Order: sequence, then C-alpha cells, then structure tokens
Amino acid sequence: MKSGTLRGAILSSTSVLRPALSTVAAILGALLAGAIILTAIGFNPAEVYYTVFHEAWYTEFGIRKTLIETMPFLTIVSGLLVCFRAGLWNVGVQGQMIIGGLFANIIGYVLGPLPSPLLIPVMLMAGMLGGIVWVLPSAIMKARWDLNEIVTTLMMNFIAIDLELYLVKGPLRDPKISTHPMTTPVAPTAELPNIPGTEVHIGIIIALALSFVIYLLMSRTTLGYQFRVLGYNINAARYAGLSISRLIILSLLVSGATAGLAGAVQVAGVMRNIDPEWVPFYGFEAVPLVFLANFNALAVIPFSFLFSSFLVGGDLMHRAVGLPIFFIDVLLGLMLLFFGAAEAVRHLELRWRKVRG
Amino acid sequence: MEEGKGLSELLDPIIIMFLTFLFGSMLRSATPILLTALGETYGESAGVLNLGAEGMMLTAAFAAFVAGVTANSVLIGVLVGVGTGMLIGLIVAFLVVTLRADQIVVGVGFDVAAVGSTSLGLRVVYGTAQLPLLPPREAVNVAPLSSIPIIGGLFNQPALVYVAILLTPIFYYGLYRTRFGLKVRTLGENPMVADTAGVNVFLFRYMILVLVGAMAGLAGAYLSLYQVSFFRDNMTQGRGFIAIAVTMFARWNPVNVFVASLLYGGAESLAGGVQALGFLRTVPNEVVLMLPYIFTIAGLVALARRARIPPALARPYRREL
Repeated sequence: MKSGTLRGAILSSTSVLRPALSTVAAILGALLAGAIILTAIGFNPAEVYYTVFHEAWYTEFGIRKTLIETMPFLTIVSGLLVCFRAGLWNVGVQGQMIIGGLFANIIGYVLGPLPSPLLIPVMLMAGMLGGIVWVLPSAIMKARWDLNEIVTTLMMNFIAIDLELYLVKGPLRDPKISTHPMTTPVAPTAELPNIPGTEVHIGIIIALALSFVIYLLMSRTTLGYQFRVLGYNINAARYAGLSISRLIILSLLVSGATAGLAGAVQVAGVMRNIDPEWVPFYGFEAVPLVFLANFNALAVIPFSFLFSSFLVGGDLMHRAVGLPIFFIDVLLGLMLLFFGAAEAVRHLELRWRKVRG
Repeated sequence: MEEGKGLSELLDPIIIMFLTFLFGSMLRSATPILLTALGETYGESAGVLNLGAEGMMLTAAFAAFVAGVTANSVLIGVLVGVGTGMLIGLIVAFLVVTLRADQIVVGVGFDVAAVGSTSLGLRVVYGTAQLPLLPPREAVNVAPLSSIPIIGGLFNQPALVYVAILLTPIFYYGLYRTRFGLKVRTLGENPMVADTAGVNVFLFRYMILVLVGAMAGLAGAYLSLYQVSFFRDNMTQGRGFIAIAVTMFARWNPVNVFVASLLYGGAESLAGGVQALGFLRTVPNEVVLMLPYIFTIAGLVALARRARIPPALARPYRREL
C-alpha cells in the first residue's frame, strides 16, 4: 500500500515546526468538534474539558493514575512507530498485549521462588516473547505472501481475546479463587517496585528508556534508516539491495515485543493476575499517537501523557459529570481524521507553492 | 449408503439438528459480509481502499436501530442505515479524493470514532434504561424448497438475505460486463488513462465511495435490524475487516465474493451451532469462537497469496505528476 502524501511527509520533514502544525490542528480540531458534539447532546463542553484535565492532573489519585497509564501508551507507541515508519500497520496491539500479559503472568507465578532482580527481567522478557509470538504469523504472511497485515493482525486480536477467555476460565484458572475465574497472581517477588518516594511503579521508567532506545534506533542506526527507506518506497528499498522480508519481519517483531512488554508491565505493575474481562483499550487508540508525534519517539512522551490524561480524566469525569467515557474514543478518532485532513491540506499548499515557484 | 435406509436414518439426530442449524444460519451470517464486500470490491477496483468499512457498518447499525425503533418501521431503519453509510462515504470521499488524505489514516480514524460515537450515542438516546426490542424479522420461505430436510433452512431466510444474494450477479455484471465497470476498473489500474479517456476520476471515485458506503450501511442495518433486533456496543466485531479480507481473497470478483462470504458464514454458523447445541462438549466454546477469524486468515493464505492488487489502490490521484 503506497500513499504519496504520508510517505512524503516521512522523509521530507526537515522542518520540525511545519509538521507540528498538523498536530496542533488535529488536537484543536478534535477538541472543537468534540465541543460541538457535547453541546448537541446537552453537556457543557467547558465543564467537561475542565473536569477531564482537573481530575487527571490536579488530584493526587488522578495524577498518579495518569502517570501509571502513560506507560502502556508510551511503550506500545514506541514500538508502533518503528513498524508504521516502515510502512507496516500493526493494529493487533491488543492481542499482542494480552498474550504478553499471559506469558508474564505464567512466568511470574511459576518462577516465583527466584529473587526479584532475576525474576523481573525474565518475566518482562517473557512478555516480549508473547507479543512476538502473536505478531509473528502476520509478519511472516506479510513478508512471504504480501498478505495485508492490517487484516491479519486485527483477526489475531479476536483470536487472542477468545484464547484468553479459554485459558483464564480453564487451564490457568486459580483454584483458590472460586467466585470468579481469574489466573493465579504473580509471586510478590515478581511485582514491580514503586519509584522511591512515590506510588508509581517503575514501568514508566522502563517506558521512557524504551522510547529513548527507539529514538536512537530510528535516528542513529543503519537499521532505522533502512526501515525508513522501506516505508518511503518499497521499490527504492529493493533497488538499494535491502532485504525486504527481513525488514518487514523485524519491524513488526519490534512492535509486537513492545506490546507484549506493555502487557507484562500491566500484569506485574498493576493487575497481578488476569481477569477474563481484561481487554486492553490500547488497540486502535494508540494509532493516532504515532502520527501526532510525527514518528518521533521523544515526541511520543508528551503525547502519551496527554492521551493517558484523556483516558484517566475521562474515566473520572464520567463519575463526576455523567458523560459516558466513550466520548474519549470519539475524540481520539476525530484527532486521527483531523490529522489526516491537516496533513493533506499542508501538502496541497506546499505543492501549490512549488507550482507558483 | 446402505440399501433401504434413508440418509436421515443413518445420521445421529444430534448431527441432523446440527446440520439443519448450520444450513439455516450460514446465509444469515454470510449476508453482512457479502453486502459490505460487494461494495468494497467496487471501491478497491476503483483504487480506493476503504478501511473505514467497520466504522461505516457500526454507525449504520446504530442509526438504523434508532430510526427503526423510533419510526416503528424496519424499512425506515434500513433506509436510514443506507443513508448513514452514504453520508460517511461522501465524507471519506471528500477527505481522500479531494484533499488526498492518506486512506489508511482516514479509514482507521473513522473506525475509532465510530466505536466511540455509537456507544456514546446509545447511552445518550436510551440512558441506562432497558433497550427497546424490535420484534424479530419474519423469514420468507421459498415454499417447496424450504421443507427439504436438513438444507431446507437455506430457503427460509429474512428478505434482506435474498436481496444480498440477488445483488451478487448484478454487481458482477456491472463490474465485468459494462462500460461503467470497465471505467471503474481502469481507475484502479491507471487513473491517468481513465482521465485521458474522458472519465471524470474525481466524480467517479466520489460515486464509488458513496456506493461503498451504501453497501456497508445496508450491512450495518442488517446487523442490528435483521440478524439480531438490538444494538450492542461494537457489535460489528471485526466484520468490516473480514469483508475487506474476503474482497482480497475473492480477488475483486463479486461471484468469488459470494462464495467466500458463504464459506465465512459457514464458519460463523459452525461456531454458533457448536455453542447452541453443546455439540462436541470436548471442545471449549472459546476455541470454537475463534473459527471465523481463523477461517479468514486461512482464506487469505490459501487464496490471496500472489493476488494481483489493483496498481492504483490507496493512491490519491492528481493530474500533474
């Protein structure tokens, strides 16, 4: 799938400021359209937006939760921007996160007797492996047969949800909890410690480190450059003698691994065990972030915090104002639409200038 | 088969029940996929990849349900569903044809917005009250055929199912036997050639996207008004994407789309049948529920490998190079 406008933007973004215009337009456009929708359904937009950010930032509970929820966004999007930049759309984050969480849950329980400094890294790696296992079929199908990865990764989400239900109700069910099917919790040694002096677990530090590594990968290494060439023009990549299959598989595996890691951190840092109802929110919802951050891993940091604020503030706002949290999904979808439109307009305008000399 | 024994005597009654259920429901399960995929076939043939199919179906399912209940008329519900799909098709066309926005970004954007806005809308319209229920659609049976044992259910379907089946040859004829279809396919092959030959590329792609929207809208209306008689959060459950997969492994041929949708319908009914009858107790329900999705991937692997994709697919058209 080629798309001139977007791919053009990927390599030609020499100026930092101009692409940022699309991001600003997308966020403002979505908030404005959201305000119109809110007014139409009888809510006061100023009150809703104020409550969302007030709850997310100015209450102790809110800010703690916002920081904790920044982790999955940041972790997932760091990986997604690698494959998106290579022109591959992994929309199966949800499934990869579930499988990563399940792998981590099993390891965190089975290897419980190990000391924390050994157990935690092993458990997190198991989560990454889970994510890799779940994205691998799609990666191979794309590399070998050029089968659309959007369709296959999405189908894998549904399969993961059913597999999770089966495992949690069946083989992985904790026999000691009789009221509700749940997996056996990870051992206390597997729980992620808090950052000293806070009640925020270290997942956020892992995520920040990851986004820095991805930033270096994409901007300072040959591999990162090869991913960009592939995303810009597959024929150019082929002509340059790059191994297309290898790059397709690698970029998808990176995104699968980070999704699996996010699942593992959620299990070890927040949930301890898995409920059959656990269907992570961050599937499609992480997609807009990659674009808003203009494929820059460091720019992902503030946007992940912003999205986390929407999510946490939205949830708390729901209790305070009575507006269903689904409004947040509407906002995120609108952001993507406005971003697409703004980017297109920016290119039309650039083209027009070129024509005019 | 043994001498003197009918087929029905040879089979276990449970298996007969199971097969009867399977044949009765496979067309019903196939219909939303078929409708959406027929539209997508035209869209992709014309070089437009509409990844927003899922969002179109979901929004239309919601709009059709609300309109159908409010007007107490299924026909009005269906019309509103189709209209909703057409309206979204028009907006998508403005974004991807006129503004030349990235088709994948726009499609995914609509899908995310649709999940949110329909679930939000459901609560705004009905609050926390019990959802109104429509009486289920009555099946129209094709008299002598519907009484055949086991497969009779194939001929005892809600009206819209027959409509979908009848649309298949029409869509095939339109795409492969008319000048109109030739123009559509040229748009996907090389829009510049079409433009040179006097086809208005922009107008045509607008028209095609409205058609794509109408079909996804009809499919959405079918989901909430025919397949069940209510609206549920995210009730499309990936069907829009399955329809896109079906379009691909049917290689943009409406007749193949029909066959592929039917096979998908079989997989979905198999899952439903195993659940409903508690058949094969050894296989857990959750594993059976994976079937339609596994089927879709398997279909892609078996049939869409090395498929020749319309060269202009997902590329915006501009006259100047």
